[in-house]
This record gives sequence, structure tokens and C-alpha cells, in this order.
Amino acid sequence: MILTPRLRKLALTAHVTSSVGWLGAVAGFLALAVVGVASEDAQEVRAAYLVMEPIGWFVLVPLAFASLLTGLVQSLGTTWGLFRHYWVLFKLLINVFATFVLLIYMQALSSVGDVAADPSADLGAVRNASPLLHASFALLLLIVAATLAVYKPRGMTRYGRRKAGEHVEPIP
Amino acid sequence: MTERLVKLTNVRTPRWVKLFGIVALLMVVLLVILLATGGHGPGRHMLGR
Repeated sequence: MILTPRLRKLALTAHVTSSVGWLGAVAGFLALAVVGVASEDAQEVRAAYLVMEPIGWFVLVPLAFASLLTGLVQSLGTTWGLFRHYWVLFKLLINVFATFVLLIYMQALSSVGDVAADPSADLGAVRNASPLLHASFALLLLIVAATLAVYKPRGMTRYGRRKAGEHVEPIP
Repeated sequence: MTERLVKLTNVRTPRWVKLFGIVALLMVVLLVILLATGGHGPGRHMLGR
């Protein structure tokens, strides 16, 4: 079903807002991860790891799903389609992959928070490079997705070529 | 428009797609290995232990 121009703009606004919001939230999360690894202030280090899980559940996960759902609406509701152009397909794969890893990683963030909340755990045990590595990787993936969305590099999938070919005469 | 569609139907798979495909495949394989071996988690990156 093709969206009307007004609905298409609304869907596009929702998709850009949620996707860029996700990227920004990951950047903020990365800042916390840097604080956790580099700060000399013990309370600041513990606080950084303690807020990671709520940020994950209340900001990252909702934005990831919002980006995925609005992306599906945007592609299926326009002539771009979901599987016709490689850049759309790769954006979908990046989104699904990042959301899947995020959901798995939420368990890890819970244990990171538990260690940070334990007053008997020394600062060396609280510090953890895992959030820094994962947030850096997520940021990289989301920047690649944003770049694909802006540049829209050429290239149609076999399915897309077949669909396009249904509307034109074959070249002799 | 018709001319553009005819051109698109003849386009070969671009190089960037092949590159992205290889990187994506490697990432998925890496994720599967890490999850299957159970050798992945926050404890892997603890700094002070």
C-alpha cells in the first residue's frame, strides 16, 4: 500500500526522529561508558554503570524498535520497497542486527549495574570496558545506516530488478 | 522514467554491495561463534579482575 504524500512525510519524520534519536542516545551512552572507564571519582564511576540499564530499557530499546517499525512503514508504504534496493535492505539488516544485539546485551548491562551497586565490590571490579566496546560498535553501525539513508547508493536487488522489469519492455 | 527503469534492470551488483555483504556475513558469523561458545559477556571485558 502506497502512503499518501501527507502520511509519507509523517512516517518519514517519525523514522528520521527515532533513528537519529537512537544514534544520539548511543552517543550519550558512550559518554557514560568513557566516564566509567576513565574517571578517577569512584562515585561517578559507579553512577555511570548504574544508569546504563535504565537508559537501555527506557531510551535505547524503545528508540531501536521505533526506528525499526517506522522504517518498515516508510519502505513498505513507498515505492522504495523493503527488498528492492540494496541500501534499504542493508539498513534493515543493520537495524535488526543492532536491535537483536541490544536486547541480548541488556542482560549484561543488568549484571554490570549489579556489580556497581555492590558496595563491597572494589572500583577495579566495577570498571568494565564492555559498554564502551558495544556502544562504539553500535555508534559505527548507526552512522553507516544514516550514511546509507542520505546517499542512497545505487544498486537494485534481483527482486527489485524483476519488479522494475515488470513495468518496462525488455532491452533487445 | 521508463528509460531509467530499463537502465536499472541492467545494473550489475555494485562493488559496495559485495563489500557490505562480506562485512555483514563476517559480523553474523562472529556473533554466532561468540553466542555459541558462551565466551561472551560483561565479564570478558572486566578491567580490574
